[in-house]
Amino acid sequence: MAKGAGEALLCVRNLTVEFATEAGIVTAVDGVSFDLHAGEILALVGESGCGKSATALALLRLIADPPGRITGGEIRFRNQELLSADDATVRDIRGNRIAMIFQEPMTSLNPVYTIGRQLGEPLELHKNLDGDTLLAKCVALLESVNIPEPSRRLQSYPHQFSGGMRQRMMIAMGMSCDPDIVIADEPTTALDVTIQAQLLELLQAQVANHHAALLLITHNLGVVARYADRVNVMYAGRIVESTTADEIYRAPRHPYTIGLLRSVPRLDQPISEKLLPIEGQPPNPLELPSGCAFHPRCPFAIDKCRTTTPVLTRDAGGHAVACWVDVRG
Amino acid sequence: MTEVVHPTAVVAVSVASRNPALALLRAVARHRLAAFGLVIIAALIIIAIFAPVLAPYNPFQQDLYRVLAPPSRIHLLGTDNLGRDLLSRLIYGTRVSLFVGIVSSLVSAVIGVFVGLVAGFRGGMVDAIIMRITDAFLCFPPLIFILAMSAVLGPGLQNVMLSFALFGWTIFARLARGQVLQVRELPFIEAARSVGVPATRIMFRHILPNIMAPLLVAITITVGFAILLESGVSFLGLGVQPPTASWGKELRIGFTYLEAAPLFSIAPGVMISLAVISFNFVGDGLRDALDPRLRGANRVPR
Repeated sequence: MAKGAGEALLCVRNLTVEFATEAGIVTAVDGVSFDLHAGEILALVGESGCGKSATALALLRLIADPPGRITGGEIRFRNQELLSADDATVRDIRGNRIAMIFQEPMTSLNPVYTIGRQLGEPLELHKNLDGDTLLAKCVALLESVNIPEPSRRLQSYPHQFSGGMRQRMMIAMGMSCDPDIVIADEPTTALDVTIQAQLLELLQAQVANHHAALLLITHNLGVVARYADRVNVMYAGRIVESTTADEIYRAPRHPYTIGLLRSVPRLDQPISEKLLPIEGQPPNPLELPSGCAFHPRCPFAIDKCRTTTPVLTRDAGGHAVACWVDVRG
Repeated sequence: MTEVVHPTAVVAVSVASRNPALALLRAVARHRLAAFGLVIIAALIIIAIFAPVLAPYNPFQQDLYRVLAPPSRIHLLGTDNLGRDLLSRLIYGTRVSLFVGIVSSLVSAVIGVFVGLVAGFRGGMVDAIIMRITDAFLCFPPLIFILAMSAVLGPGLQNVMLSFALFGWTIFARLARGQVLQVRELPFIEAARSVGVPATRIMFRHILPNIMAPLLVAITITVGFAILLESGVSFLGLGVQPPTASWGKELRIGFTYLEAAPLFSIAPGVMISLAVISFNFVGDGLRDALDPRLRGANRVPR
């Protein structure tokens, strides 16, 4: 059980995901590498279409094929290579060792089954529970995510639950088999702002209780600051900056990260200071700019940025950035 | 916590909280024509089950002194060309017609839904091959197909049902496939995959229940269609063989004596029409009850 301290729970190396569209092949995830360590909260941040959801889906081999395909890389979970594993092995990991919480609690539940039946499905499949044992476990799960009258609520159908309750139920379902990793893909985007904080607190408490690692996918930098231990910033399918959550606010180094941070209001900022949007539009994934994909929008761009793609380079302090220019200070 | 509840949600709640089958029946019965259809179908089923009790005479007993008798107190609908009581023959014919209609539609539905599920869920080559075969079947006019099948298999009730099923599954396959294509893209299917549900279980437990509504409507309407086909095939002499009675068979024999005894043709014709129309009405009612958009439109004026 005890492993070397450096051994990560999940190692992703050069993950590449492509989608065939009518206009051509889109590389949604382009050589993404990262480690996820036991018990940590890692945030994957970026704007819509930057490949963060595709990365999450690829981890469980859930990319719909066609049109999508994982074309390269490695995903090692506890020394088991997932991309080459057979379907049964992957199925056994899904929902059991690695659980996923989706963006849309409204549509992520099957409308024809009760909450109880769906909540119990992973336990039925992976832990062979049934009858009263299963029922008791489901009641306990709903109770743990603060849903009142759990035994009565198990009989409800999804449409009788509010969005917040459904997402709580999804969290309970994600936790049901005591997973090692929980992947939460924008878990609060579809919810009311007041409920978002509650749910993230709940999610944080739940992963802490179960000693699970959390891969939190979000576009919300406020969420990152509050909950994440480490952050990977993605742009156009690549990780452009990777460091601790504190460091990213204190000393961001990639011009894109700096731009993102400038475009969000902060309490410690004088009101007179303006919010600065990032100029330009996200790139067309079919015709990514040459060199660094961010260079057309980058105020620091030099000639080299137009021709050569920068590699993610990690410094002695563990702060990695993919940029030719040192923009510090 | 107060919630704004959408009107359709209220209906769904009432459907979900009680016995769903009963609630659905109630919703269908609210539709006036469907209620009429339900009553007629229920009556026909009772007639079919209790035929020996309800029929005033043995349907095979001939009375050659009383052929083609007009309606009277003894023979309410008169007699046929061999002096058999027409009412008794129609009552027994209900058995045959309903049996053929219901069994052949159910068999078609089971085959077709399975094929459609596999085609829609697997996609790609499997889908392409299955759907081209389906298209090929759909190119035949139904009656010609069934006549050809009967020519190969020989006449008789089983063979008629078999040929209906061999033809009818295509409709269900197309319908099921189309529905599967919609449902399989929904997030809850991805969610099911994400917890490790195997493919066959996703097909039968997660997709199938979500596409039942249109299938139920199609089954109901197909029963009517199958009854009509059975009558047509029997009319052409390929269905049930004498002395067994079916509506289509009676219509055929009566047709010969149209001028002498018009009721001999009219009575089975009315039975056929009544049954087919009833199944169609119930199908319409089911569709309205199951389609949330139509339900919303009927209930809340906007």
